[in-house]
Amino acid sequence: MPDRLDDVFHASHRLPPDAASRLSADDLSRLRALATEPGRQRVPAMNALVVAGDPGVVDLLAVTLRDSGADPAVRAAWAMQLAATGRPDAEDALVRALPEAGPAVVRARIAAALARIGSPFVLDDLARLAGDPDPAVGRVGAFARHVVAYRHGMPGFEVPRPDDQDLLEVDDDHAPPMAVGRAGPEESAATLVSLRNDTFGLALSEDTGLRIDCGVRRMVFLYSQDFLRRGAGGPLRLPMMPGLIAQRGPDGSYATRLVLLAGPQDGESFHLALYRTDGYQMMAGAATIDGEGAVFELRGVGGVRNKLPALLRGRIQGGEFVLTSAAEARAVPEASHPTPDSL
Amino acid sequence: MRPLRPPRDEEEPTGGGGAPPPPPPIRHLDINIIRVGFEDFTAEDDAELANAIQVTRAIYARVRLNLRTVTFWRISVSEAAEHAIIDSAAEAEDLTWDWTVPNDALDVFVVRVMNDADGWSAVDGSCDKNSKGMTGSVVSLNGDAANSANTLAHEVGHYLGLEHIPDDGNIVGNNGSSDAFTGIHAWQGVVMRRHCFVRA
Ligand SMILES: [Zn+2]
Repeated sequence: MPDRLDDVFHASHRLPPDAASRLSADDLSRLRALATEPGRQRVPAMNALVVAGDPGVVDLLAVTLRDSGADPAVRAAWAMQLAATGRPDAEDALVRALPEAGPAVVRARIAAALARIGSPFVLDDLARLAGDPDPAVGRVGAFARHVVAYRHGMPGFEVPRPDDQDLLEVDDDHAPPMAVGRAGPEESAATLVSLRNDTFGLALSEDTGLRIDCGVRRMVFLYSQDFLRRGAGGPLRLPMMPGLIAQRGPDGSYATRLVLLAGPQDGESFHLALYRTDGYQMMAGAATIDGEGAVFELRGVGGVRNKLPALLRGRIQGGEFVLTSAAEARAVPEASHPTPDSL
Repeated sequence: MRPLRPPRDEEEPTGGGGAPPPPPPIRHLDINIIRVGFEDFTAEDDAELANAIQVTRAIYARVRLNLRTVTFWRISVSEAAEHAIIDSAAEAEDLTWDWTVPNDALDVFVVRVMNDADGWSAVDGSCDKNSKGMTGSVVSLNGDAANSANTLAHEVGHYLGLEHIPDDGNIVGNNGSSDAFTGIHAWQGVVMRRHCFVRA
């Protein structure tokens, strides 16, 4: 195997930034062969083609995704890789694969991929997925429908709004410190580059962001350019996605962890909902317009196993969030337990 | 990434005059191996996993760290849902956030397929598995047997405090592109043996 392909198959985490750009035409052709042969190298080989921006990769993924004889986990991975190409024809490839999707993991991942790149044309498909008998497919399908509609400013697809009694309390006195500050152009731009196409279809600003440090975790909120332009008045009129939270991984790279949705509530306020990328609503709240922008509050949503007991309060000024209070409980309550097993 | 921590409280033997110092006492590590979407694991997957455990045990034994009790757990395909595959470090953290084995051993989640990486783990991870952050290691079976063995030794090594190093041949070497490497330095053993999941 040529040395340059070693970079692809030896990496333990994300491909080093220069590894994909060094691949020659011959390397890409070898990767295409490996990506379509049975074997454990299919997924990393296809991944390298996606990162390298290989022009034929969408067609290759479109064919392989529809191969109902292939391993469902591999097909699910390919669905996400289609979204990661950032190519306009990826949406069509995902929709065409839906009728033959088969196992729930493949259906759920096609829905998740469409959340990232889908246009309003897929809303009917997502409505069907939202009604899927499998709960995970239904959850991701409903989430994808919200995301696509909010991203495109379409009313009529409002997120569920938890009752007040379903919102979690946070004991501020025992919460670990959360440090929140503005992320400047250098940090915002670097985070955006690291995300590659993991941007949920948003045109994100590289000029400003919000840095959130909580324990060992570093997160950066990146604003959509649309929200920065419209400011707090934007979601008062139409649903939109103000931005997303990218989290730094152990290798220093960033991946999208949470996305923020906002839309009209009444004449003077708009709702806010923070979702995990698998479709669980983690925080909910509202913002109320005042003379200088808006005041907002977001609280953790209960009733799901993976709840996030946290509280965020602040202002929106000039399209940017300024936090006045941020607290997160120390522990994650009520994780599920795996079943004892043997090998 | 944080800088490498120099060993503090327990030094490796340095030579010098007189009789060589006695080797440090053996320490023990217990782990939970959790197969995510267990029904889809083939006999070949299970063999690759069993080999990875055996190779990791042999690597760690060289620094007097005994991989003592390996307990097996499972998450079904329907429970795992879309997390039967992992697409990013953020999703790996979601998995360790949602699932915890109720004991005081290190949780190692095994997925058959992972995009964009072979595995993810916190570096010097927490021993409070209900705390925030990545409270376990997540490994895949993306590569051949030797590659998957490195992935297990590499990710558990991260959890116990190891950072990437440039050294060729080391389990966390070649700056993270550690392929199927099995090398381990004595000083890395000193770092790992200090972790709160490691017992006397
Ligand atoms: Zn690593």
